[in-house]
Amino acid sequence: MKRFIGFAASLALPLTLAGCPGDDTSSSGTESNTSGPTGGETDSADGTATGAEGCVGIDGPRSEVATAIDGDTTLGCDRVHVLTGITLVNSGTLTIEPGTWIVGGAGSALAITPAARIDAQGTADAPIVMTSIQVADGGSPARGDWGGLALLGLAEANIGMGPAEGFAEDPPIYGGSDNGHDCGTLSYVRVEWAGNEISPGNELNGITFFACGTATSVDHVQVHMGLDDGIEMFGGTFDANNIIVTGAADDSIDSDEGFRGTLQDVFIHQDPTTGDNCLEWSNQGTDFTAPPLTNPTISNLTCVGSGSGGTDSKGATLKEGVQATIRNSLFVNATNAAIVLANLATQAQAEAGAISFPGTHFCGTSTFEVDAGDDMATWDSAGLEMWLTETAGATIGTDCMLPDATFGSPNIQPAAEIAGEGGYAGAVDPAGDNWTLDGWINYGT
Amino acid sequence: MNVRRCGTTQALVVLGVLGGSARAHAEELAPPEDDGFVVEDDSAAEPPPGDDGFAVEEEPIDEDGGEVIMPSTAPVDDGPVADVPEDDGDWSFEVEDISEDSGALEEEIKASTVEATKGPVGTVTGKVRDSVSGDPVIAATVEVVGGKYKTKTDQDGEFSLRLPPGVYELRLRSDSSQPLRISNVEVRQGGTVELNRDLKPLEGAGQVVEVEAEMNRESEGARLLQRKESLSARDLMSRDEIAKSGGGSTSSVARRIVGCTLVERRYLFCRGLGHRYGNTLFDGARVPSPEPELRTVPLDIFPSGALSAINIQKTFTPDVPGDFAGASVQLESREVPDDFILEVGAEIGANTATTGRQMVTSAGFAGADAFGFGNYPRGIPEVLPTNLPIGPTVLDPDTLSTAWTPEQTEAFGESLLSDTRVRSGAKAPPNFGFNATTGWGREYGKDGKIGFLASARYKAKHETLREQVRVFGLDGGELDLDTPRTDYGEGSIDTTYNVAWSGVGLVKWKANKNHRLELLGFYSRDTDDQTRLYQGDARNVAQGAALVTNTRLRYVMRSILLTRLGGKHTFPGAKGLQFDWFGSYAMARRDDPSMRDMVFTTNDAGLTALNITNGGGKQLFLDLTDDTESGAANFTLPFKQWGQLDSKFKTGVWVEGKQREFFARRFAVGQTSGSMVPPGTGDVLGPENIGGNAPMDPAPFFYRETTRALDNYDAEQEIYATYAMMDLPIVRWFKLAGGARFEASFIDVQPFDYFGQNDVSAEAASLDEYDVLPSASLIFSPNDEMNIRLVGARTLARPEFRELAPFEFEDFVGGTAIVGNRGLVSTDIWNADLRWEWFPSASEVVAVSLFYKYFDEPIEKIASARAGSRLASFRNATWAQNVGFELEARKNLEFLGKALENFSLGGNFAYVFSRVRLGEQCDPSDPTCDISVPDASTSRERPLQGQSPFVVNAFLDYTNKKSGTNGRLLYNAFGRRIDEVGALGLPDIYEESIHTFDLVIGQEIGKNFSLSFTIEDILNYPRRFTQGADRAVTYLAWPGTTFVLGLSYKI
Repeated sequence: MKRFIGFAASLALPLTLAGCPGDDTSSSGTESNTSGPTGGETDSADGTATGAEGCVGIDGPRSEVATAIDGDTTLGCDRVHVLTGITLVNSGTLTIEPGTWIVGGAGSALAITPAARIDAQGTADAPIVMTSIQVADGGSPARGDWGGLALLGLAEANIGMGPAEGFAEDPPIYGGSDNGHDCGTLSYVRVEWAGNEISPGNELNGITFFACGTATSVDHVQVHMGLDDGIEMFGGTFDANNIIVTGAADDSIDSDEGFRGTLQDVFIHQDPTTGDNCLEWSNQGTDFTAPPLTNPTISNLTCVGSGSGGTDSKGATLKEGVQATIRNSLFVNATNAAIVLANLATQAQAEAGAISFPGTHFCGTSTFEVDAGDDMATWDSAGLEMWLTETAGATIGTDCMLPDATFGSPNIQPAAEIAGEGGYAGAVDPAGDNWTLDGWINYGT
Repeated sequence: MNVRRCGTTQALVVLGVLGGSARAHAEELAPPEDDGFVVEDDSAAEPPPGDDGFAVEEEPIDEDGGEVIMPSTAPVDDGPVADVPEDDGDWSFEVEDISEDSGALEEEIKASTVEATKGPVGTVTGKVRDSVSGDPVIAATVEVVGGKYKTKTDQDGEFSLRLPPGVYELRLRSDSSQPLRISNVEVRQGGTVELNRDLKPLEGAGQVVEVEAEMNRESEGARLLQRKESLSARDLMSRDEIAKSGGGSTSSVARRIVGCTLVERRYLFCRGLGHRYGNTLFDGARVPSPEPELRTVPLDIFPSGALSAINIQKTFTPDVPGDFAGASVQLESREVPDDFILEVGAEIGANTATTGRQMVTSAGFAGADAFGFGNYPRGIPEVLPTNLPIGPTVLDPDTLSTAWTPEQTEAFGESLLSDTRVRSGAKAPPNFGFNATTGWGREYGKDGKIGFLASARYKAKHETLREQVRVFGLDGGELDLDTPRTDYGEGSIDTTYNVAWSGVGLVKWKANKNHRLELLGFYSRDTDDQTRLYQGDARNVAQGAALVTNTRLRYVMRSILLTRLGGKHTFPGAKGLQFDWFGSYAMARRDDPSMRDMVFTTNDAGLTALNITNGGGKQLFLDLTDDTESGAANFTLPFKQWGQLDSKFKTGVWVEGKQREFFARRFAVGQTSGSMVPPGTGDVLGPENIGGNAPMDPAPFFYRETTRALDNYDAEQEIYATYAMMDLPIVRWFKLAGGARFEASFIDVQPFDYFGQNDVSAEAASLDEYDVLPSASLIFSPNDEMNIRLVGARTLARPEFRELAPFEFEDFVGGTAIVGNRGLVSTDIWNADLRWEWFPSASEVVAVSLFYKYFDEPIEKIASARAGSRLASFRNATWAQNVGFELEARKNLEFLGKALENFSLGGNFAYVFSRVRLGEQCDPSDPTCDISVPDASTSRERPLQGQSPFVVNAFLDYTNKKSGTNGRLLYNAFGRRIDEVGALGLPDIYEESIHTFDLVIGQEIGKNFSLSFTIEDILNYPRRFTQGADRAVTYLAWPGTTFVLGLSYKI
């Protein structure tokens, strides 16, 4: 119901235009000066909205999104919105209607600065899709075709404050002390083929959360075929559920700089030819003990690695003194180690009980790696394995019973329940609906 | 500086036994009222009334009359002059002048004159000219051999000496000429003997033949003199020094300058102040730097054969641009010769770290690379569009759909250079170089002269460094020494093939005594062909044991073109008004095409493959062009103040414009969906692997452009300045000089989207500033050999274009990227200098300086916290202060015994205490807080970046004119200085002290040949950068010892 209220409220707002300067290159002045064709008839909270009606889909007329958006603005589904450069939402709320397609060209990205928020609430039938212009043009999309989506907030990050990765000079600055910061709402949103390098050495991730606080709401989000990480959190604290990351060329979910949120029901599927970690969780590259420590919790993750043909694929790398809880999760098919514990500082957290794997299973044959750099590692692989099973709550060698691990057409609903801690393990309830097969999700390459 | 004026300064006098007497007289001359000593030619020619005898006066000076000056009987100073026999060729030089005004010369003549006063006298008069130029020889000594009577020539080369009647042998000598004896000079009572003689210019080891007597500014003695008389604290390197220091490049000469060090063997830092606080002028014209990040011009691009001097001005005077605080490096072109000259030389060298050892190279373009034209074949392919970037998802702005077909994308990608392989089979060849100088000059008419000089140099060398590079993080607040975040070591190797050539041509025309014109052209081209292979861990690229291989192929061409036309005019009819002017155009270019970066990672199974998600497969093109125009006009009006002391008033204008165009295009490979990255580190980006990302394209890669909208920029600076200054002696021993300069500066840096798609005008920087720069000097000259100067001045340091531009650049994967900050403002610098100098003889000096500098809002590099990668930028700190002292001494060792007469020892030491304070950061949630790059620098109060606490230079010289041998052992060291500031609690990175010993030996062979042998960096001292209290090494390389053998021939 909450979602309905939010959506209705957004429609009730005066839907002003981008408010961009007249000399802007944008043609956004033409877009969505109506409330869009969806009307206000949304009558259910589960996403079965009538929003798809009247939407033009991917083949509709195109209009360019301004590179600077000030004030409340709505992108409607009556046209395809084209990102031509880095669009900064400087203030107000950017509302994106269900069923809206946003396509990006080379060098484009959408960033919500701390003074603004995004309200992107699609539905299961009418998701909001941000993808490559190639998809709209019927070409062959590739990772990095465009930049990606970035949300910036003022919650705590253990670097204090910093310029957002991947932006040019005068990049939006994130980080502060407002742990309740609201970056906005993402629901039924799919981000595809992102990860364009925007500044040297800095590819954007599919979705990057910079210091987003507890008021930020994220559910039913997929990041598909990104060039860098799928989803990355730099600091902040917010919860998210029903997350899918598929085909990320680097890490699928990367958390740094003091992120302390909870992720529930997550499916990660790595491309058989590329991809690094399903999870790469680190505290801070410069200072392993910089507070607040990164300390995410993930529950009911299914991580399917690249398999034997992969290159860098790993399950989870925990490093730089991070704290972590990985609960009721399944790791399968990593090419390399299922768990890499890097840096002595991280081992110390593990030994202190600040890292745990309750109800988590490593399926089939898995290896475990300790990389303490040049430190005198007191654990070896066998030690890590012993700690995982005897102390951390994990089980090794389980049969995950995944019906189909084929990249592009997965089915990860186990044939029978794999017991976790107080419930099943894995992203999908073996006895319930397989939400990872819902229509808003795209596995195609 | 006016020609005649320079001439008058040429008071170099040989006086063995009079070394002490000159000092004695100086003391007596101290009272300012005591001005009756002026010897006027006409008055001196006549014996004073009542004098009618020939008696030789042995008594000390007649203090009141002042007409007669006698040698002092006071004990002679302990200088080398004490026991010099009066033998030709065994004398030493002594400088005795205090200021450049003619009054002082007269005083000088007076002080060194010993004449007969009582009894009968006769007079010897005459004029001494240079046998080559015909110009008068100024301040040459005329003395009686075996006697005490002597005098000096005046400004016009004329002299008059009263002697008791008799037959004498006279000797004429000056430091720039061969001495001449004239026997059987008969002096009769009341009679006058006229002796007009020409002196041959001196040709000796380390001397230059093409010295114009009138403007003998090139010899070491003359340099010291020029320095002695200068209004500002300055150090000069003479042509003698340039010749002695070996090598054809200017930078090898410069390292001996007081308080200065040569950084990277190219850049001169004075008083420890870095690039930001220096400027470079060539004959007064602005020389632009070919390095966009650096303000300082590398000295090694100038062929030393074309220079007469390097003049390091350390305190500001209003007649020079005020944008320096460390030093203004002023290069002076050489004089044209008097006849035809030709000098050719060749050298061959070897370096112990490089030559004959394994190196890394790339495919290259051998023919073009050998001559420094390798930037052309590496240039951006013509097929690439300039209206739109390349790549499969580039949008056509009109249709909002993809602009390029897969075929086009493939063709674009395949046009880029595909060879990224690092070859490691070859061994480095020896280094070699050639240089040639030719010139011609002819006198005509009474005072006319025309001549030209051309000098060229070519040098090719390899340098290999086996580098260790580490980037540290923190663990528990302490530097995490065990797990460097980046650790490139074993197997890392970096070879640079440097080709440099340059040429200077100059034409100088002296129409007559009062009018001169000079035309100068200079071109330098310097190329670095770098092949770098770094191997090791880079934890932001690949965690753990994965081996990261980072290669870079880079070719950088830097060129400078400078043209200058200038003139100097004296108007005797207008009370001697002097007018000098110049106009100059310079172009500096840095072309850095096709920089190819590759990153490979090796996984647990040992499979190595290109890692495109972490910086592999990039190609970058950078091209920078600076046009600089500068011009100035100066008027100098000499006048006599109330006490008839020579004074002058100087005023002038200066106009300068600089325009920069900076182009950057970046490309990166993308991976075709569903393809496999080909394994290995070979030519994985060969044309067969480059496609257009068509559906089902078999090629694994395609190229896409990653040029940012902010990468390119145009910049412009205009400076308009005017000044007025006065040089006003109050009394003979106290001079006041000062004035003010007004500078208006307008800087605009405008980033632009190369393809015109994005409006980035909001990122422009604009800085308009108007500054009045006052300067005042008090110069006390307690005696002829000593000066005490007190100088106060305000100067500026303006931000460089690059520091204001949003362009970002990363040195290596896992390293720190640097980006500009458009909010910078200029730094005001208040300078105070107190300097005591003592010149015991022409080639000896003792000097002590104290200085203090206050920097208001100095621009400092800061470190920022950025997610994922390290970022540095620039910021105005709150303030900085430098306080320090300099000591300098140079002494001939003859006083220790005859055996050491050919040796001299010298050294200088500078100590600087430096502090800079960084301000607080504003809160980003405050809407008025405008931060582009947050400052997360750890140390908030520390020494200025790049500032060494001490600098030491020392040398031992050996010069044997008879055998034509000279040698020099040089020692140079600097104190550890901050190289990079740390962020987020990380300590700063320091460059550790380096101690270098160099040896230069020269030997003349016959009349025409000379051989030189140089050993550079005898100790092979490591270049070491460290971080933290334990000095953990972040960079380490041994550059090796270099041996160079040179042979030159001259006509």
